[in-house]
Amino acid sequence: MKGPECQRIGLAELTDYAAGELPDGQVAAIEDHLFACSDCGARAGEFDTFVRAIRRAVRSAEVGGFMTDAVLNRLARDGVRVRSYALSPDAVVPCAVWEDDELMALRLRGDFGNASEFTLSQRMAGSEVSRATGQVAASSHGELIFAIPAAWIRQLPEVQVEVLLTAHENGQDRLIASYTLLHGGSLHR
Amino acid sequence: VLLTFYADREAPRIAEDLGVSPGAVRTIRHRAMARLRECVLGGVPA
Repeated sequence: MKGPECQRIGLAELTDYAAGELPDGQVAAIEDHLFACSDCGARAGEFDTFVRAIRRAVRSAEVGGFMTDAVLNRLARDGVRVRSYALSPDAVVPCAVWEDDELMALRLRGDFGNASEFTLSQRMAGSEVSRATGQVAASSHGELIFAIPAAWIRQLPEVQVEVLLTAHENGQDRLIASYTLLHGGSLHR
Repeated sequence: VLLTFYADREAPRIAEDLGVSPGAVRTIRHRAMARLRECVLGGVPA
């Protein structure tokens, strides 16, 4: 008969530990326990696999969403080809990805106030096709960065995509801006 | 999560990037990891 599983080191502790953000005393205690406890050791192993999978998914440009310049810079260092579009409120911008592009970065401008949580919704012909919410702040250039995998764009027909950006501030939603992308499909050199 | 585990940024820098406190960075990160885990593994308890 198996006893109740040891729950001493959970996801939160493993996250802070892997991030290198625990005080020295706690690090030693966690490491001692992980060596001694098979339940928590197994959980730590699963966590490690999970973090590697996250890195791999990002590096292979399978993941979109709100990002910052720090993440884009790291992607560039890893050789990921990123195409950027700067969009002002109400802009209507023709856009396309080249065959070797891996990620499209929308650099969205607008009056973001002090918000640090935003939702981006993409609509085609009045229907929402994607929606993402994230904690992020504008870059030093006053832009919010949202990345879309080029593979997703490639499978779109020539279509007009309306991008709506909403800020969540003090319990209220505020529409920041709408941007229009005229997708022209995939370009070949 | 990306800033920590992909861009290797520490909480105080992330806090600056995201316009929140370092404590909030940890909270947001815990919540995000729990949600990601749930998305990937379904309802398997941690």
